[in-house]
Formats: sequence, structure tokens, C-alpha cells
Amino acid sequence: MRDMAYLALNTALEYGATFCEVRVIKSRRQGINVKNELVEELIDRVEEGIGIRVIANGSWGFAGTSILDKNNIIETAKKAVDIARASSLTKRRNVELSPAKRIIANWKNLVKINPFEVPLDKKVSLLIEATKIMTKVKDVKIAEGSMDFWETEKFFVNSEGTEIFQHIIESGSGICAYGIREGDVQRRSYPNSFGGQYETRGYELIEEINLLDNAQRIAEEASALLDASECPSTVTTLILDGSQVALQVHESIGHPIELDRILGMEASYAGTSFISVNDRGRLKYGSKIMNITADATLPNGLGSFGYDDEGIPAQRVDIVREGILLNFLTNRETACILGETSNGTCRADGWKNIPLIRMTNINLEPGTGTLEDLIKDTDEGIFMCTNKSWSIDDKRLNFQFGLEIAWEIKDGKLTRILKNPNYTGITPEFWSSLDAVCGSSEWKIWGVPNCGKGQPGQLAHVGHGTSPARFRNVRVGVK
Amino acid sequence: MYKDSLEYIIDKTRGMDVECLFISNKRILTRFANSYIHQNVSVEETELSIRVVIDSKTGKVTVNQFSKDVLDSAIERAIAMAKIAPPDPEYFGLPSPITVETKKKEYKEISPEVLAQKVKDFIDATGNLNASGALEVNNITMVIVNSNGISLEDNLSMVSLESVVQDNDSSGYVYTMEKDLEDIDFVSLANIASYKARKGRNPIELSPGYYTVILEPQAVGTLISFLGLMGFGAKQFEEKRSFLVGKLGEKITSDLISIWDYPSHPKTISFLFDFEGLPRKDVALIDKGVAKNLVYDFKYAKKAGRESTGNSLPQPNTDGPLPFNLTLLPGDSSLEEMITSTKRGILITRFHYTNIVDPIKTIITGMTRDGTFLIEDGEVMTPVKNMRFTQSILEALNSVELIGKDIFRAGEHFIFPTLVPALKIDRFQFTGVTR
Repeated sequence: MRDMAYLALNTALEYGATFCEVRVIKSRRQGINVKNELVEELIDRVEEGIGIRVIANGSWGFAGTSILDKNNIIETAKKAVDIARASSLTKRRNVELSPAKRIIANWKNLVKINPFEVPLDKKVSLLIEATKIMTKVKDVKIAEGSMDFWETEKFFVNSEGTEIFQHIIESGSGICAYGIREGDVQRRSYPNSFGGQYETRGYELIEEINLLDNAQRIAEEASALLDASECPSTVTTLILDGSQVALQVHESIGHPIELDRILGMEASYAGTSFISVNDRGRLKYGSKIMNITADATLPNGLGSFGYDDEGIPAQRVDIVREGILLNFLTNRETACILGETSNGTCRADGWKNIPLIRMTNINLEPGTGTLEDLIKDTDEGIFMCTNKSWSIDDKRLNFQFGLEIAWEIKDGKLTRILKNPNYTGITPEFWSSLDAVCGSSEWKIWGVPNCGKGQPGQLAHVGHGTSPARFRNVRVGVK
Repeated sequence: MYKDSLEYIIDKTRGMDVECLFISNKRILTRFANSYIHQNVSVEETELSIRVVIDSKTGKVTVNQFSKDVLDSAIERAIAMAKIAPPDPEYFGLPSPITVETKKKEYKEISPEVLAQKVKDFIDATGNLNASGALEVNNITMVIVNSNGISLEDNLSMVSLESVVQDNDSSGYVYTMEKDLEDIDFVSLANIASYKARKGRNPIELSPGYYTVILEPQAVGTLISFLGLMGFGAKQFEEKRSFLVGKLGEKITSDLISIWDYPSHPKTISFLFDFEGLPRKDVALIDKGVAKNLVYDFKYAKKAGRESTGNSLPQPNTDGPLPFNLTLLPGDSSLEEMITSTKRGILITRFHYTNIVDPIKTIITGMTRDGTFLIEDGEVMTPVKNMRFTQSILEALNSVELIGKDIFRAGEHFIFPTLVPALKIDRFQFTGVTR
């Protein structure tokens, strides 16, 4: 890896690049998808490649290849420089990068059980058993289980003398049950929807989440939803479970605080942001109890790492403090525009993509009390769990989320189940209605392995530390 | 290089059911924002998947290196997985060859300078407005070989331009995809997006509710693409997760609506065979409002006692067969006729961040974006702030009044571009407004 990286780096510099960074990546993925006791898909994917990003003539260029012979690496490095020169045809000003310390480092995340060393048949058997439990429940016609494991070895060098090797293992798993009756399909998932829970950990995560002990419960809930009443259309008090608070943070805080979006660099695809550069220290994002951090240093978070893909160390940054916006997510280019240094959030999806500003672990810091306390403290409202769908406008203001299940709250108690719950709002108004956040005992870093951004599209693995939270006067049951 | 690898694998695995799927892509993407090129990438990537089936048990390994050691290791792992995997009682073997006439298309290398100049032409034509977008070239080759004798290769080129042109409080949008860069008129497209951005200044707020809408092709593409995900596949139908359950043969939309999976349409961009090497076929999914057919891969065709329609994703997969080349057949109206015939309604350029709310009722939600205008007394009167819609696609297609006579490739798609005209829909529900 080292030889390839330096061959590319030296070639690009000799060919005229004024700055160069190279990532050589070898990655492996294993995936298992089981449905109704049958294995539908086993994924075993190994890939290697090199990505070379340069500045030449004051503009960016990038080239990548999976053909790793010496000649092709040299040609690819030259191509990156040629592309940068072509980019300069429309240049407004030279790209400048904020200063970064020279770093020599070797980093890996803590893993107790290497998931790639756990026998495949053990993993498959666990998922088959879980689906077997679920399909025994009335009206549960489809039961699914999945596991995903990634191992990434990444060697990074740049022309400023930084050299970093990182080795990251990530794991994830989940199950879901579909209750199906004529004209109605209802789903329940555990521990989260869209694949379950993901962390930068080993197989110990799969053992901890205990799929078998939860299979019966979610299957019964999926079945019960078929007989449940529709979520009413009203304005009410809303309590969200931690996993949905995580997605709410993701869509209405994580994306709009990306400084590249704020500066218009993502305008054509994902959109821009309702936030402007001048809003820092001024914008009232939410209520006094709203405290948001970006923290890539948290152990086990799916957005945790040692160094970002510009060689900047992982950091913890206050984003919102007592409801006021304090900081953005930045990289070296955008931080330089503000006269600052990067807070280390620039990451690429594999060797084939350029690094972009990506969320790390964007967290709603814990408040006090348990979920039980919070429900007891609520006279009337709705408690919604587990995301089913999401949509938000291109400035990240108007959102609508659908969830798998809800319970009506009456006099501090959960009462009847409600199906097809959803809610809608406008970002700052919604966060201003936040009046309670549960405490550390309920706080958990939820992994989101499919955060999309950029052209060509990139997927990032990010995390959100959250606990259940309560919002007042929310419009629910949009029909 | 890859042909040697494929022959090597087939030779090493004689006596087993084996399939090799090779895909390569040379992609250049020149991206611009704030009216300059800010990201500009070129990537050459290849991958090879080896699927081995032993006693109805499947193992599959994907690699992107082609040395003998890598291939030997991949074959060993695939065989080991197949030995561990539980048997699939619904395994019907691998498909056998069916003639597919492929003709290798010449791949034209396009330099980064040429692409940068095209982007510059576009940006220059937007004047003092703020142009963002991406010019993307993909040259994809797909090769599939299996132990039953299928041996097919096809390649295709796709060149697309997408752009949002912004003014202070407004924006316009264009999208086009062609097979050849020379078929794109950059200046004309810049003028269309710029016109909309300028016309969109100072938008007013409309109340949510039901409106007559005129959807331009890019907005129609979103509806048709999402409909394609929710029910035309034989697996979804079998699992009762399709909106078509109990409705095949019944009228589900306006008589004006015919939707095909249409690989033979002259404007279609697609491979001639699917990801298990079977020929793509034209399938009438909805014909004059009546739900007619599903799409099948080899397995689900066998289960149904019919032939595959050539709609397999790479096997094995969890999704089952899906339509690849959705086409809403055109009508006979112009966009102008749709506007002049509208007493009060909303003209919509495109939708944004759409997602499924209820797949059985085909309800989706999303936002309007980059050009939303109020129509009154047959004229486009004033821009309006973006609105959230929550709407059943089938109900919308049931209240179609007019269909455009020209069809376009739409940008929001899941496998290959959809082909769609503009639509005038009598009743469309908006449930919110943004600032």
C-alpha cells in the first residue's frame, strides 16, 4: 500500500500538482440476508483501489483506479493533474486549504470479536432461528434478518508529510417482521429499521443486541398493527424513541450544518441549507435544552474514526449549545474560507470517491430521567417508534417522517396502538418545541450506514447519540 | 484481461453450476457550483462476481482484482459458502442461452478539457445567475458467462447533464441524458434553467390542499419510478407486498395511462440482456388503465410457469425482478395546451426527496423544487414557494386529464432512466408549505 501511495504522490507532484493526497484502500464486506428461514443472499466482497486528489493550477482534480499495476498508477496520477488543469478553465480563485499538522499515525478501533473469524454457519443459524420465531406469530407472513460486516484498511499520505494507516471494523444486524392481511402490510423492526443497529465494533455487538429475545415481541407488534386504529390527524404532544430522534437529528441538524451545503457546493443535488454563514452564534435552532455535539472520538459510534480523509484528527465540537447554533461541520477548504482550521469531518466512500464533509456522530446530548418517567409526565400525546420513511426539503426546513408504530398516551400511560403514524414540521420551530430529553441511561449511539450525498453518489457511515425526547404541538397523522 | 479470467473460472469449476458477472465502468464527472468547477473526477473500476451453486446451495464472491491468486481464493470462498449455505428449495438451475443480438458500440474517449469547456459554455450562458450541476459520462461494459453456455457482452454510454440555476430566492432546473455528448445543447439548456430562475423571483405562499397540477416530465419521472418500485415485480406480488395484488386485469388508472417496461423503445438506454443473461423483453404493465402484467426473472418465471421477461437483478438478491425501462406512453397534448386549458392550477418542474409512505396505497410524499408556478386563467402567473405533497400515485394517474405528446428521459430513476411525457392531473394533494 505504502509503495503504491508514494508512487502516485511523487508522480503527481512531478507532473505539476501543487498539493496531493493519496488513499490506498483495501476493504472487505460480508453480508447475510435471511427471509423466512431461507438464506436469500450471502455477500462476500473484497476490493482494492487507489484514489488520488490533487490541486493544480489552483483547482481540484481526482482520479481513481482499481487497476493497481505500476504503469496504471502513474497514468492515473497524471490524469488527476490533467483533470485539475481542466477544472481551472472556470476558476474564480485558487483553492486554499486551512493549515493542518503533519501527522504520522497508526489507528484501529477496538474490537473484541473479529466478525470475519466467526463461522458463517453460526451467523446464518442465528438469523434463521430469529425468522423462525417471527413466522410462527399470526399474520406474520414475512420475517427477515440480516448481518453486515466491513473491514477497511486505509493508507493515507499527502504532500505535507502526513502518513496515516487506519484499520476499521464495523458490524451491524437487525430483524423485521411483516404482518400482512388483505390490503394492509405492517412492519416492525428490531433494534432499528433498515438493517438494524450498526457500530464500529466486532461480533460482540451482535451478541449484545440479542435478536432472539426480541423476535417474538416485534412479530406480535406487527400482527397487532393490522388490527390497530389509524394514527389520528391532529396537533399534539409527541414523544419519539431514540432511534427516530437520531434520524430527526440526521436530517434536520446533521445535513444543514455541513458547511459545503451552506456555501452552495451541493446545490444541484441534495440542496443547500436554511442556515447561512452569518448565523453562527445568532440562530436560535431550538429550545434551551437542545445541546448538539459532533463527536468522532466516541468509542463504538458508526461515525467514529482516528483521522478523517484529509488527515485531520477526530474531534468533539459543540454545534448547538442551549439552543444557539455555534459551529458547522468543516473540511480544510471550507474552514479556510472562514479563516479557521478544519474540525475533521471530511470523508470519502472508498477509494473511488473524493472526500466530502460528512457527519461524524452528531448527538443530542442527554437530559434527565427515563422514558418511563417521560411518559408518566405526559397527560396526553403520542409515542412513536422506529422510522419507516423520511422526506425533507432542499433547505432542510419542511420535513415529514413516517414510523412503524405508535401508542396513544393518556394520563401518563401508554394505551392503544396506532398504525401508520407520521409527523411533520419546520426545523427550527420543531426543535424549539423540544421540552424534554431523557438521560444517559436511555442514550445510545445509533448507526446510520446509508447517508447519501454528492455526485457521483456516496454513502457514509455516520452515528447519532440520542435518547427519547418530547416535542409539543406537533402536527401528526398527515393524510 | 477479463475474458481470460472468466474462462479460467469456468474451467476451474467444471461440474458445478457457475455464473460469472463482469462489470466495468469508466466514469468522468465534472461537477460545478457557484458557477465554477469545484469537483472533477475520473474513475476506472471493474468488478467480477462468481456465483457457485452446489446441490441448490449458493455461494457468491465479488472481487475487483484479477490475479490468479485472487481468483483462486474467490473460487474457494464461493465453494465454501455454497457448502455451508442452506439449500434453496426454489432453485431451478441456471438459465440456458437464448439468442441476444448484441453489437459492440464504439467507446469515444472524452478528455477532461472537452467536458470542462462544455460546462463553461453552460455557465457562461447563465450570465449573472448561480449555476450548479454535474456533467457525467459513464461507459459501462457488462459480460455474463455461465456454465450452461450463456456468454454475452454488451456496452453502453450515458452522458447526462443536470443543473440547478439559482437566483436570490428562486431556481430553475434542467436534466438531460443522451448517448453522445454532441447531442446535448448546453446553451439552450442553460437558457431554460435561467428563464425559470428569473421567472421564479419573489414567490408567494399557497395554502395546502387539492390543486390541478401540470407536471413537467422530470416530476412525472419521479411518480413513475416510485410506482415501478412498489409492485410490478413477481416476487413482490407473490409476497403480497405489491399494490397490484387482487388487481391484475382490473382498471387501476385513467384510460389515458399505458405504462410499459420498454427496452425496445428507440429512446431507451439499456443493456439488451439482464443480469443473468436473458434477453430484455417489452412488457405492457398497465394498458389503457388496466393492470396487465408483472415482470419476471428466471426463478420467478419458472415458479409461474412462464418465460423470463429479462428483469433479473444480479443474483441472488432480496428484491426479486423489477422493471428496468419504465415508459409512460405519450399522448397528444403540448405543454402549452395543458397550461391554456387550466383555470387554476400549479405547474411543477420537479420533485425533491420523495419517499414511500404506503406502498399498498402507492402513497408517496416529497417536495416541489426548482420552479413551481401558479397558473390562472390559462397563463403561468406567479411563482409559488415549494410545497409538500402527500399523494397516491394511482389516484393521481386516475385523474389525468392530458398527456404530453413528447417523451423525455427523467433524472430520478433507480436502474435506467424512465421515459415520460408531461401530465395534467385534475386533483393532486399538497399537505404543507416550506419557507
